[in-house]
Amino acid sequence: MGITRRLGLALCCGALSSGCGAHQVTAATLEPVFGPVVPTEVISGRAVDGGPGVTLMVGGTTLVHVDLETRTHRDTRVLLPDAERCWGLARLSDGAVWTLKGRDAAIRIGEDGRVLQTLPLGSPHFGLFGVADRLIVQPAAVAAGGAALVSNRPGDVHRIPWGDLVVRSFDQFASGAAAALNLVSCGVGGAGEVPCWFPDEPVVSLIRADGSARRIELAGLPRVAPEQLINASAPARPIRDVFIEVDGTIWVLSTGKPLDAAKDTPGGWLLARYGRSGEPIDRRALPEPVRLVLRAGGGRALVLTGLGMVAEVLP
Amino acid sequence: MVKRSLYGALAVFAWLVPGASIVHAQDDGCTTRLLMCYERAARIENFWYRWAAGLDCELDYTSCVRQKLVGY
Repeated sequence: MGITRRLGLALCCGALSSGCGAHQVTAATLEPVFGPVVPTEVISGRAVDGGPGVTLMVGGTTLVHVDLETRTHRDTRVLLPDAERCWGLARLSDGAVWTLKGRDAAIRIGEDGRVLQTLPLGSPHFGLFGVADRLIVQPAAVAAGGAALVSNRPGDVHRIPWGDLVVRSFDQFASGAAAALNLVSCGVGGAGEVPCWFPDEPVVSLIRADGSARRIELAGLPRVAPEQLINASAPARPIRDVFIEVDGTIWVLSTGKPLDAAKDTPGGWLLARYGRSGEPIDRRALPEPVRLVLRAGGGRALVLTGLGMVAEVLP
Repeated sequence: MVKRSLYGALAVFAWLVPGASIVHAQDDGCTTRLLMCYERAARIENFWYRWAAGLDCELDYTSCVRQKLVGY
């Protein structure tokens, strides 16, 4: 390649603030580390302990605690007196672990799986997360325009709106489907901001503990039509998981393009990284589906694969 | 007669409203369960209990769909 063309290419790449490489999808290298640690049942919640531990709520009944340093895991069954299932998981700053029991109560779970405390919520709720010393919950019955998430300290009656995610109107759908399209997911925030998002948008809201927030549109990820999300049995989700490193680098797991041979295995096939302000860094196609980013830093990530293995994404 | 009217109305509603009515070729069971739930709710004698049961159907539907939309 002549010097003129090289110079032209360099100028082109320099002119694009994201860099030419960020527009291409390259192949990720994924190496198994240990496992399997979970079955293919739905994981409804994930909580980190600030160290090597990650706890998952699996199947609505079991806490799976994974230690990424000792490469071990242990299962703890949640001892519920009835057939109710749990959804969501939060580990607060005092170490207390909370989950949603059914739709109407938050429960605190002990190390042995016993229910230590029950907080009736007074009305149905669809999601539960945690930040610092606050529970973040998603009430089921919020009119369009209202805050999707509210927060309080466990036991406090007073709840305040948390973040900038606002319930959207979907007039063409029945109320159950409209509520589903307004379900919020939240990932792991390592730089003082918790990433949360709606299921149809490639947009993440980065919310601080005090509830203030900023929004980032994630370039290169698709927006999905609401009817596709509702009607498909395995919908393509723009964002499946988000993990923010301590330096603010944003890792995003997206559905991507599944291979036919593994299309029934849960997980996403595209791993994208963005800078602190949403500037694209790279997008990589995964060789197998990945369900969660467990830890990330220095260009590497430990992930949970669709087959339940802990694997490492190499730089 | 009121019960039959409501049952008929629920059935018509279920067919008219896209999000609730379409038993799509890729249906994951949530919509089918919603329609069956509506059918059971329509058989409840008391109007208010029938209405509350219909709301519970919607909540169950959202909980069902939640797994594929936000589950890991």
